[in-house]
Amino acid sequence: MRLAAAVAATSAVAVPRLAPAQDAAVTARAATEMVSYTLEGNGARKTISQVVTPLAVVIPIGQRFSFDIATAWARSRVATSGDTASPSVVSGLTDTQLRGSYVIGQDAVIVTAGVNLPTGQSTANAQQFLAAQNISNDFLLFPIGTMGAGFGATGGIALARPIGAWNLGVGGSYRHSADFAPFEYNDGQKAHYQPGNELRARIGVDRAFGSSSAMLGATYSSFGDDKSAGATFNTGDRLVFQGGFAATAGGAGYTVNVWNLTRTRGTRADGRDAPSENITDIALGASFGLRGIALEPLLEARHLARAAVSASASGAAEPSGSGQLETAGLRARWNVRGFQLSPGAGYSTGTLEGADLTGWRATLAIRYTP
Amino acid sequence: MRRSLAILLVVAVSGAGGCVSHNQGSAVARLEAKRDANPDAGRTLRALGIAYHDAGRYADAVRVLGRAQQLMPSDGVTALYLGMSAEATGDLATARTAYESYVRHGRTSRVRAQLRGRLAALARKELVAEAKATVAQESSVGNTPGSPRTLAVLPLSFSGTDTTLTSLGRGLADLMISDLSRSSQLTVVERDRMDALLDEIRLSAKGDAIDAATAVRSGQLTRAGRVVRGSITQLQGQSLRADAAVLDVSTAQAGGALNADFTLDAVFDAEKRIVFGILSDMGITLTPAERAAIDQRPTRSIAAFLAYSGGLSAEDSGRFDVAARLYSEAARLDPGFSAAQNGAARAQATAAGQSVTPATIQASLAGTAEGATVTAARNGDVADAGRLASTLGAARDDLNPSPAADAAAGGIQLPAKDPVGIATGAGDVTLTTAIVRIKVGLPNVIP
Repeated sequence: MRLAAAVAATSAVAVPRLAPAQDAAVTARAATEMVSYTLEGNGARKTISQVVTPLAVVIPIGQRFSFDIATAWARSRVATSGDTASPSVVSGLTDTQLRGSYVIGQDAVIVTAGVNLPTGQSTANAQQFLAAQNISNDFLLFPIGTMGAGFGATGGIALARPIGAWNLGVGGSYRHSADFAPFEYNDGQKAHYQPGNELRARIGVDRAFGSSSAMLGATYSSFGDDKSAGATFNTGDRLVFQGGFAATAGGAGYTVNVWNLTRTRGTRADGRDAPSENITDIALGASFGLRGIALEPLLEARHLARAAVSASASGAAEPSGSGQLETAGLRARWNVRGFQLSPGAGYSTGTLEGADLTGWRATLAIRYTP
Repeated sequence: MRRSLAILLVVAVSGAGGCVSHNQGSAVARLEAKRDANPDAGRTLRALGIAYHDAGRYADAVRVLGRAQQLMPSDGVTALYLGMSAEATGDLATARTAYESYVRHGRTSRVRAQLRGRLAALARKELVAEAKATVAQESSVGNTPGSPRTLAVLPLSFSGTDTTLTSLGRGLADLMISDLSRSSQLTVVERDRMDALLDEIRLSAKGDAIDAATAVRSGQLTRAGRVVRGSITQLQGQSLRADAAVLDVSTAQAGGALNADFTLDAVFDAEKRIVFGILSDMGITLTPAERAAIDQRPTRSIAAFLAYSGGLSAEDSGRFDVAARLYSEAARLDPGFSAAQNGAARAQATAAGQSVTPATIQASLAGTAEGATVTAARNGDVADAGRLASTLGAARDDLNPSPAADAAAGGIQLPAKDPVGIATGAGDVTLTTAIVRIKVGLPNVIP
C-alpha cells in the first residue's frame, strides 16, 4: 500500500480492492499529488520529493469487456547536502499502461491482458539517475515508483467462486518485459538492461456481512534473472499478504487495512547480495459526513526490517537495517455535478536506518463520471 | 508487527462469523427495518422479497419485488423471485412476465434453461386457468353467439378396433385447424386452448363424450360462431370413414354433412376434401395462394403422422414426456415434418418445466453470484450487487497492476518491483550509500 493511502480515499482504503471490477460507465480519474521526505542524520540531510499528476480512463464496453488506459506526468527531485551534483532531477511522462479485461460466465472468470507502453523517461543520465531510482524505495512508496521500465506485456486469468458466505478468488499471470536502457553515460553510451520475466499467483477471499466486509489475500511473485552486460542478477521473489476490514457504526465508517511484503534475498549488479526485507503496514481509517462533505481521517504505521549483508569479494558487509514511519492524514470528499473532488494532506515522521525521517503529502484527486 | 497483523485478521474473521446466524424470522425483521429506513433501496427490497418468499409470504414478496423491479428492471434475481412468488399466488401472468425478464437479464445459465421450460409449462397452466375461469363465468358469458367467421374445431372421435389409429382424430383435427387458419377470412380457435376448455367442460360435466350440446357450449365459451365436430370410423381393415359437420352455435343446427371414405395412405386427401367442404359450406372463397397452402401435405409419411397424432393425444392429456417421445419419433421418421419437430421441442420444454420448482431453481443458484445474493438475503443481509465481480477485480488488479491507474485512483497500491533500483542499490535512500553505489556500481552494467 503506498503512502497515498494516508490521504487518499478512506473508502478505497477501507475496502481494499473490493471496488467493482467493471465500472458501469466511462470514468475518468485525475489527481495531483506532492510528496516529500527528508532524512537527517550525522550532519547530512537528504530530501526526496515528487510531484505527480496521473490520469486514468476506464471504458467499459458492454457487460463483460472493459479496458483502461493510464499514464502520469511526474517530477522527482533528490537534494543531498554536501553533494556537488545535487540536486538530481528527472521529470516527464511516465510509462502508459493499457489493460483490457473480459469477464466470462457469471462473474466466474476474468481474463486480463495489458501492455506497458514505454512512453516514460526510462533512460536517465548521471545527473538524473539518483532521482529516477530513489523513488523506487519500497518503504517510502512514492506515487510513481519508476519513470519508465520499457515495454512489457502481461497476461493473466483469475477465477472467482462463492464458498458459503465467502468469495474465493484465485489467479495467475505472466509478465514479459523487453530490454531497455536505464542509464546513459556522459559519452552517450547506454547501459542496457533485460528484466527477468515474472510469474505471479494470487489467492484471496472476501465477504460481506451486514454492512461490514472483510478481505484477505496473498500474492506471490517469482522473478526470472535480470541480465545486463553479460551479468546475471536477481532481485528476489516477493510475497505480499493483505487484509482489510470495513464496518459502519453510528453513521460513520471504520476501516482497518494491513499488508506485509517479504522480499527474498537477491543479487545486485555488483555481485553483492540484495538483502531480504520485510515491510508491514497497518492503517486505521474512518469516514463521516459533515454538511455534505465526507471527512476521512487516517492513521498509518509502517515498519521495515532489512537483513544484513555479509562481506564478500564484491564489497564490505552491511548491517541490518530498519525503519518506521507513522502518518496522520485527513481527506475530504464531495460531489459536484458528476465530479468527485478529494483534497487531502498528511504528515509523516519516523526513522530510516538511523536517520530521522519526516515527510508530508498533499493530494487533490478528481473523479469524473459523465 | 506480523503477529499483530495475524491477531487483527483473526479478530476480523471471527467477528464476521458471529454475524451470519440468522433465522428466517429475524432475517425478515432485519430487512424490514432496513426497508423502513430506506423504502426505495432496490437491493434492500430485493433481499426482503427473497426473505418473504422463503417465509411463505408470497403476496408480500410479490408486492416488494414488484417495487424492486421498478427500481432495478434489469436485475435477474428480482425477476426470478418475483416470478416464483407470483406463481405461488396464482398470478400466472405476472409470473410469466417476470420469468421472461429473467431469461433476458438473468446471469445463471442453468436457471435460464430451467425457466425456458417453466415458461412452456406455465403457458399450459395459464390455458387451464383461463378455461377454469371461462367455465366459472359461463353464466356471464351468456348465449351471445360469436362471430360466424370464428371457428372452433373439436377433436374427431374414433371408433374401431385398431388401437394404433385411436389418436388419428386428434391429428386430423390439428391438421384441419392448420388448414382452415390459412384463410384470412376465418379466425380459428387454437387447439391447445380448445383442449383446455374441453377438459374443463368434461370435469364440470363429469363425462368424456363430446355431444352436440357440449360442442355448442364449447363454441359459446370460446366465442366461436361455428364449431366443427366429427368422427372417424374404422370400416374394414385399412378402410376408414370420416364424418364432419359444422354446427351453428347460435341455432345449434348442423350444416350439411361432410364425409369421406378413405384408406389410411390417403388420409390427407380425405382431410383436404373435408376442409374444402367446410370452407365451401361457410361461403369462404380462397385465394389461389391460400388454396395452394391448404393443398400442402405436412408429411409424406403416414407412420410419422400417426406418431405425431399420438403425440398430440399425449400432450393434450398432460403426458409431456410421452408426447416428446412420440413427436421425436415422428420427426425421426420424417425429418422434414416441421410440426413434429416443433411439437417435440415444445413437449420437451414443458416436461422439463413441470419438474422445475423453487427448490430446483435454488439448487441451480448454489455457488453462483446470484446465489450469493440469495444467501445474503436469507441471512438478513443486503448483498453487494457486484461482490463477486469485485473479487475478480481485486484479482485482476493484483495480477495485472497499473501503477498510473492506481495513482489516479488514490487507493491501494502495493510496492512494485523496480529491478534497476534493487539491482544497483539505488532504491536504497540512505544518506551515505546511494550516490556512491551508483557511481561505483553502474560501470558493471555497461554493455
